Amino acid sequence: MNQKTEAGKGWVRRILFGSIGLLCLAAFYASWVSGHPASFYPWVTAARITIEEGLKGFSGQSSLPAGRYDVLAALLIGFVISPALFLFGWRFLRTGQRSRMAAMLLFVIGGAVTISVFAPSFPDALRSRKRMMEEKEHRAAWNAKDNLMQALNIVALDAQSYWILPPAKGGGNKNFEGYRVPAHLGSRGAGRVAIVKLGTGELRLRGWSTDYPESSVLLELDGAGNRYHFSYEGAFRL
Amino acid sequence: MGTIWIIGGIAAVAASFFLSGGDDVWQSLDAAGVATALYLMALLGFTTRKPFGTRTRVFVWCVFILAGTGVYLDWSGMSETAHRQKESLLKIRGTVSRSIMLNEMPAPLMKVLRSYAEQPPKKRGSLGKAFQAMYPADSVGRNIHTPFDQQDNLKIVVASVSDTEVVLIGQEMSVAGADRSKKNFDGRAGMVQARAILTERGVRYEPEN
Repeated sequence: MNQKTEAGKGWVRRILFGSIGLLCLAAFYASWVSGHPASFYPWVTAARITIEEGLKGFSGQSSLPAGRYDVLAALLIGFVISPALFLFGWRFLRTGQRSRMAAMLLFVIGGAVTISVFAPSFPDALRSRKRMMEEKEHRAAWNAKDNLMQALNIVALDAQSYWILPPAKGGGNKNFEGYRVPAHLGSRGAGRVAIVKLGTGELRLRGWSTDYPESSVLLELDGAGNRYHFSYEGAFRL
Repeated sequence: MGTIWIIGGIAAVAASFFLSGGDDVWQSLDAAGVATALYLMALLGFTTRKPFGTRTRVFVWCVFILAGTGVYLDWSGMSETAHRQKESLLKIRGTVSRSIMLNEMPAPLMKVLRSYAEQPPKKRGSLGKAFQAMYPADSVGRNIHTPFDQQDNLKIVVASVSDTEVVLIGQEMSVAGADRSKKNFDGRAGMVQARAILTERGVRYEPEN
């Protein structure tokens, strides 16, 4: 009777393990077919989903919540199933509860996946922190440059209006002579805009940020009152 | 026993993953991560009990803490990087939209200003009439922007035309601006928007979001 019960339990266990194995294989196959091969690192898969949402937003599409089964599959395989196989395999080897062959199989397969998930995380974390700091600096400079370009464009519009209008309307009558940057346009957040060259035929505006005193953006307007050239110095030469 | 541990672990982690689900995948993943850490601690405690010696247990727990710290740092670093990159992409899109608006919106008004300023003072009509003479089809409420491609959702609407002022409002339909709660011209909220105003003193451009 006991032998029959034990045999029955063995079958249940085999069916359960077989089903879990088949489910994992199916999840991996589905992820491969869908063009996004699953990884054992759920955070890498989640990062891919987040960036894809960003790309959708970039192309003007609404970002619907993406399927997240591959994230869960990676978490379950890498952090639930494999460590359990590894630790139980190790325990069975030590206690001799199961056949040595089966215990060794669990220990090796579970251990290989567990170590491949845990071992590279430290160097990866250090590398990604370094990259993040570099990106932060790069992005701050890019934001400052973008704000300056917008501020310069707005001042340029004001200068173009001045160039077009007759003196009776406060303009320069096809001339930049006498133009001054209005105070409310000359300063915007950390950005400043000033005239660096003013002649009958051209106007040069320089924008700089108090956060990047060594860097600047230059905008030149030609004698016909048109914006025609941007140039960049220092950190803004991105 | 191993089967029960595996099934129990899968159930606990999957439940915390699905029950905490929001719009952001990281919300689910972080909740499942906490459940996984608790599961691993319990599993480690259970599988390394006697006959394993104290030294082995201490060694295994040290390795677990070290590896867990590495995973936590990698996990949180990746979350921050991915969110920053997503934000960056949306910001770049906003910048592109603002640049297009700044290029497209003042151009017709500048053209009207040039023609208006070139007329002899006695023959000068109103600014509104000068605008209507130059763009007879562009009445108030009309979108004057021709999309560059299918992904271009920008609208430039003639908001008002009077004797002294012509106002154009540019609004993106799907690109978020800096203030997500700011009300837009068409009743939406949080989209990139700017205003270009033609008066007798020239063309003014005001970014609004």
